[in-house]
Amino acid sequence: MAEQVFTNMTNGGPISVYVKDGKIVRIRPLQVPEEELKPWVIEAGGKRYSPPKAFRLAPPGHAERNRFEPHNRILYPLKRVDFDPNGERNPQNRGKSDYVRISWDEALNIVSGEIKRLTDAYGGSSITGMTSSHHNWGIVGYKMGPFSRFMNMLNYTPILDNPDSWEGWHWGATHTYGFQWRLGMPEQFDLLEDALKNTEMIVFWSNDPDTTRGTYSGQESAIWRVWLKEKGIKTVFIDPFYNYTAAAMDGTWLPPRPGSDTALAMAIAYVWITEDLYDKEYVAEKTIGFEEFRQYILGESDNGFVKTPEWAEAESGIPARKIRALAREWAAKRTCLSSGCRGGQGSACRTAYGTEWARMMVLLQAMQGLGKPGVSIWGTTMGAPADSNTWFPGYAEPRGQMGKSNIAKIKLSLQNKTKQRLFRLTLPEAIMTGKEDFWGDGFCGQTLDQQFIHNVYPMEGHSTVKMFYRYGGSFMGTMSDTNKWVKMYQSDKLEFVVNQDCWYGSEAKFADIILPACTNLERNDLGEWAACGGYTTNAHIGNNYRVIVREQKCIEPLGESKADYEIFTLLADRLGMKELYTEGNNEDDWARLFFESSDIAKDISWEEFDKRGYYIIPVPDKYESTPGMRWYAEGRECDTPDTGNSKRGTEKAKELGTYSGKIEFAAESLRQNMPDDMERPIVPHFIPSWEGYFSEAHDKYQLQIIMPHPRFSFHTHYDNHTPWLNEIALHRVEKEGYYWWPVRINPVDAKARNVIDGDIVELYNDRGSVLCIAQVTERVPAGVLHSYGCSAKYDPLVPGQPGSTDKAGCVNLLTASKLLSKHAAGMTPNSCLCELRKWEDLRNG
Amino acid sequence: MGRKGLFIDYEFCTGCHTCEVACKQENSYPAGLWGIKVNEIVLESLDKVEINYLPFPTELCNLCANRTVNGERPSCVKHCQADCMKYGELTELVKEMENKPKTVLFAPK
Ligand code: SF4
Ligand code: SF4
Repeated sequence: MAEQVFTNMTNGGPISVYVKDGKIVRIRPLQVPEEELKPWVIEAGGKRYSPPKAFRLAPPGHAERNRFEPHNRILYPLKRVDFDPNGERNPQNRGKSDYVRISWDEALNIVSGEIKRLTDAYGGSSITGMTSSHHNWGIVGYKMGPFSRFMNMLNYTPILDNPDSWEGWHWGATHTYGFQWRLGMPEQFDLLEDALKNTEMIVFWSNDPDTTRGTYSGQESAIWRVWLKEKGIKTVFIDPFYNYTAAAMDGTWLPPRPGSDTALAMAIAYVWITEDLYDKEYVAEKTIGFEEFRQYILGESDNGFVKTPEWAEAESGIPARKIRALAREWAAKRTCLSSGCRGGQGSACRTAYGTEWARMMVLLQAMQGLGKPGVSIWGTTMGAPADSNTWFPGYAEPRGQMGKSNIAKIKLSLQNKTKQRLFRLTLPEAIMTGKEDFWGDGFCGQTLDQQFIHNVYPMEGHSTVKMFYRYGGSFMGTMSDTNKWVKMYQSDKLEFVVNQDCWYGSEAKFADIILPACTNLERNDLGEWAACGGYTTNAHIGNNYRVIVREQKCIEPLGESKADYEIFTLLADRLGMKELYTEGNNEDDWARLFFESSDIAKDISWEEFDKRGYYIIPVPDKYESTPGMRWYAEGRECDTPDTGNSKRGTEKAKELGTYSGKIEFAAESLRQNMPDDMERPIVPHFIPSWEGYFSEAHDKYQLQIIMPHPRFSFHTHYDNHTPWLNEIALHRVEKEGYYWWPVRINPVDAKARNVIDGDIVELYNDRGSVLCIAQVTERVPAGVLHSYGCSAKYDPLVPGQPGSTDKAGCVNLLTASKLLSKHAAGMTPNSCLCELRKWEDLRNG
Repeated sequence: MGRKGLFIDYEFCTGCHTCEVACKQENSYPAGLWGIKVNEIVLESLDKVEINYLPFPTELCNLCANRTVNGERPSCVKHCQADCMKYGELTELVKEMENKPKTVLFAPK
């Protein structure tokens, strides 16, 4: 048969898929004739900047093809050998026992039978479930669509996500400048142009955009940083790891001890206040609470404790003279602070009291006139010119979800009668002890006040949960203190566990029944590149082009795998709810309904879109740039296309999302709701970490480990099933036939432990033990380890034993369960002490 | 027509390994074979860490003969995110080097 070409989408960009005889023979970035691409032009400093006529995929996108060779794919429904729904269930053997292949009929009967049994006996609230982030792409087939519609139809107990990639911004920065509708990240519109025209220096603080790539935008923004470097814009990198962007841009590197970033920021504020180097007019007009803040920094409050550079030197290890020099240069130049915004997945915001650091980031820029030309908070990964007014649904917004959108006759996702909630970070505790309470509603994107809601589980009139429906992903390598997930899975309180996924992630083999799902290359769907909608509206500005793709079924599902929508439809049928679930629609009917609800249906017919496979939304000829927060700095009404901003277009359009509408050095939202919280006080405080360089545990465990987001996988996705990536020695390293996860260690620490480059080492503390391969490098300072917190593989030496040494690099096993602070329910993987020793020693001894 | 080569401006190479993976994809190399391999060179001198990346074409690099006959650029060049690779006549590429420090030229075939 002749070769056929299909279009599809990945979380690393749009692709063309070449298929011969039912097999994928190659995958390339979406092939579009060059004449169809009309790149924008930015004029700055007498130069014209324009992106290449091509789409830049993330590296895993180039390796997508590997995912269709059967490495690690789940091909058939499976049942744990010692699980009998009508007899012994043996929950204690989860993670230990083998599996047998069963038929789809048997699998579906068991799953639907359990749903029915539990709902009849305890009600829908006895069922819980949760999804991963982004193992597939699409609207019809991905989590918030079919999963949400199905689970809410059962009146299940949802598990709220924590904003795991940018905790401090969500729980802290929102109280300084709002943007709660972006979970604490500021708008990024047209900041590329602003930087090229106006910025003189960029301070990258806990941010490695060349690695995190604006999340889903592939490597579209890499060329922007080439331009910034060519222009000779000075760069500074504050990060305990000499990160990849620092290596590429060759900036000045300042490595603070993990957990000391807030002290460093306060010392900078101290220099500005004492040397009169801040924008007084802006502070007077656009902010409130500065006096309280000033007193805290200068030690007029806080028992006379002054936040000098010398103090910050003692905390961070950065010499006071360097802190002063940085502060002075920052104030003298138009400086962009690159510390977040789809790129903020560094370590500082995911650390004990990370709220205070994120608040300081906003307040430092407020002292320099945030929003004025060249003075921004900009991740360097978003802010290309684009038509942001043409609407196309994203999977994370209500209009893009088959359970909430108006295209559904019955909005099942909105009709869940169960009000009880669980929280991802404390799920194991909730299951094992049968009770739990937590602050906030997970992603608090509606109002600031959502953060002050206290949730109690079990909720009155509801059942505790007895069934767990796990969909995609592998938390062993990404959540906190993850040995507790092993214990949770083995608890008899969980009567039934299903795992539905395409690959064996780290949790699959804890399930009673495993259901094989196919990927979005094996079914029909549609989606826009990078634009997930919801709390990151207009994410397409991370790309150089707005690309909508008809995700075409390229090959038949591998093995017996099925599309998620089909699996849920088959289950609904067995529960007598098929009509209710599907409304008579198949996957393609939904796809077409979504398409027709979008603005692009005016420009291209469904038939043409379906056939051609893509549509590119052009940048308007007369594009008007509206740089993020410029309106605020200039006292105008919000003029950006930030649709989440509920004040936009109202009489409060000149205000930010805070209580006062201004930037708050002293947070009114905290003063009014939690005035006595000394862990997230009204004015940001430096609070020493409960697990850091100066804490007691440091005597025993002398290495601080940080675990930012990974460079060559997407969270856990693509790790462990794409051999081409496993071969990149920065991702995994082969030794004696096993692909090990790297840990980076300074030569001084390595020598003290008799470790050389390439040794297998054990990282351990009281919570866990993990094997990694040592990479001895000056890229981390002495006392600090770096390893990406995203292994997809969990390979305990003693399967099923909580606390067993893991061979596969799930460094998160070592992290603490403790949250950012009492009322800020974020995770803290970068407040972690451990020790390291050579593994061979132990094996031979 | 003279010999062809690959010009790499390693001042701007970010070590993203895309050229490496794009080459494997183009040539369908199984695990263990590379047409080009990105090297990380870490220098710890002058009181400063300095990191450079340098992709090195291997024995298997055929300069993408199948692509270049059709006027297409080699796969690694096309997909380089930093636009820091060029393909062309060696005599032309040498001229680029006149003006640009931190560059190398490979003539693998
Ligand atoms: S020119 Fe072609 S074969 Fe040679 S390294 Fe580049 S992609 Fe591989
Ligand atoms: S693709 Fe370009 S930037 Fe990336 S490693 Fe290769 S040469 Fe360097």
